[in-house]
Amino acid sequence: MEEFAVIKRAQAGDMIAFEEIVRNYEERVLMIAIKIAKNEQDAEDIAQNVFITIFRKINTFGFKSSFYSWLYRITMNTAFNHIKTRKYDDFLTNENDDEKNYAVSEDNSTHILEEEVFQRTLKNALNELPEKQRTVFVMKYDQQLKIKEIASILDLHQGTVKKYLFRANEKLRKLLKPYKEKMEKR
Amino acid sequence: MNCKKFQDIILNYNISEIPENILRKLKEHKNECVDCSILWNDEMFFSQNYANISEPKLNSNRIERLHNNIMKSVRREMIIGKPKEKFLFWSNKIITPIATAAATLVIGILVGRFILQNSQEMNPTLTAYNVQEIIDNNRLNDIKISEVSNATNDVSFDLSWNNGARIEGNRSDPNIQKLLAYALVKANNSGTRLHSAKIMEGMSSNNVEILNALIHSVKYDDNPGVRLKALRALKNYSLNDTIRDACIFVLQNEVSAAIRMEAIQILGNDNDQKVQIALKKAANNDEAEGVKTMINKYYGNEGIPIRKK
Repeated sequence: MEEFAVIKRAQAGDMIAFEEIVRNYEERVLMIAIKIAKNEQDAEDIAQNVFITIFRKINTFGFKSSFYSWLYRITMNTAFNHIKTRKYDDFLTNENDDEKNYAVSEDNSTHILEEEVFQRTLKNALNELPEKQRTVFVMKYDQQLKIKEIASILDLHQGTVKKYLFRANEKLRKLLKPYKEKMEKR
Repeated sequence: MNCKKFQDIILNYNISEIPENILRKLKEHKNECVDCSILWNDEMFFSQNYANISEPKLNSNRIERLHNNIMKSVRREMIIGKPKEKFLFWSNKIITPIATAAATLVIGILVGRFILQNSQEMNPTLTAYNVQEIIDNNRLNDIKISEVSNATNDVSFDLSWNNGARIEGNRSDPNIQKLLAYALVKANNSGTRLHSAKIMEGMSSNNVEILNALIHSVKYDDNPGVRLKALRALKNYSLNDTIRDACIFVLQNEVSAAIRMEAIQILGNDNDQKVQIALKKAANNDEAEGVKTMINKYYGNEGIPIRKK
């Protein structure tokens, strides 16, 4: 109810109310952007653009869905458009680090440490994915969205979403193979 | 249950949400189908393990800095918004068309001069070592096939790498084959992927990278033309398990009946049991009459291959 009033005030042009919306959601938006963008600067640019879009479009929000799902849709669209237009300079960086991170550590004897190493490896492997594939992967496994929901949010054909997901899975499968085998042995 | 239905359920529902009777059917299908079993394993593995990844840690300074930047941009947006409308009210009719025409002319002249000055520097010819290295390290953003000569079998590629680069060579050169395989899987432009598949269709090669690229395209390319050409190019290889699996995948998942029929032709009257099961299934369930007729041309009702006379 309180959120409804704040949004109404923001729609009427009240900047204090708009700032309250920003405060409520900026951390969540940044968190999503970090998972999709390859670097922190990009994630912050995405978050900034999301709120500019919300500022421009807040009058079109008709309370038909929750405010968060509307905002989430804008966030994913902004992130997706951002990565479509961005140049992929970062392909040129961090090659040696990646190799180091994918190597299976034989020294770490405890499972807890292995689990941590695995988590880091999975994160690094995700960073290796092209961004469109990563976006779809994150939406599927982080937000647990269905293929048709992802397609609708990103304005893509369901077949295209499946293709991105299959490619992401295929690539991750290869990158994580040594870990998978090790975990299956346990 | 067929592969399409299996995929729809697996990709659209959490396994915990699926009713027991459907889950049983999924498991039965998974045990029969290699591709679906891979999908099932991926789904289990990623949904279990992704949930364990810790959330990124954000410190309060970072959030505060972001907050200030957001509000600064929003305020700038407020200020820019109003006077712009006032300016556009009278400028739209007179100034905007003149300014646009003038700007286009100036930019055109500058770009033209720049291209003329730099055309030689823009397209350095890469050495074979460079190609290997940039592909292996994912340094290529995109690739285009710019020229193909059927007389000499030469191919030219334009590469999106640094400022752009061009490489030319004969399709018998392993590096050129590597680039063809890369183009078939990675090129953004479907025309380039199609070109690449067409070239592969016309060459007999034992290159494993090309075979893998063809298999990948047959299964996952967006464009049906590319999938069809890639499938036709597979005819150049002698039938093995990888090609069999790809054809079975096509038979079970491909939307286009023409492509499914092409897969049946590749399988010919193969004796492999997997093939026979898949074909028998398709002979009973396929939506297209043409597919059923074609299967019956090679296989009898019992799924046993008929010898060609």
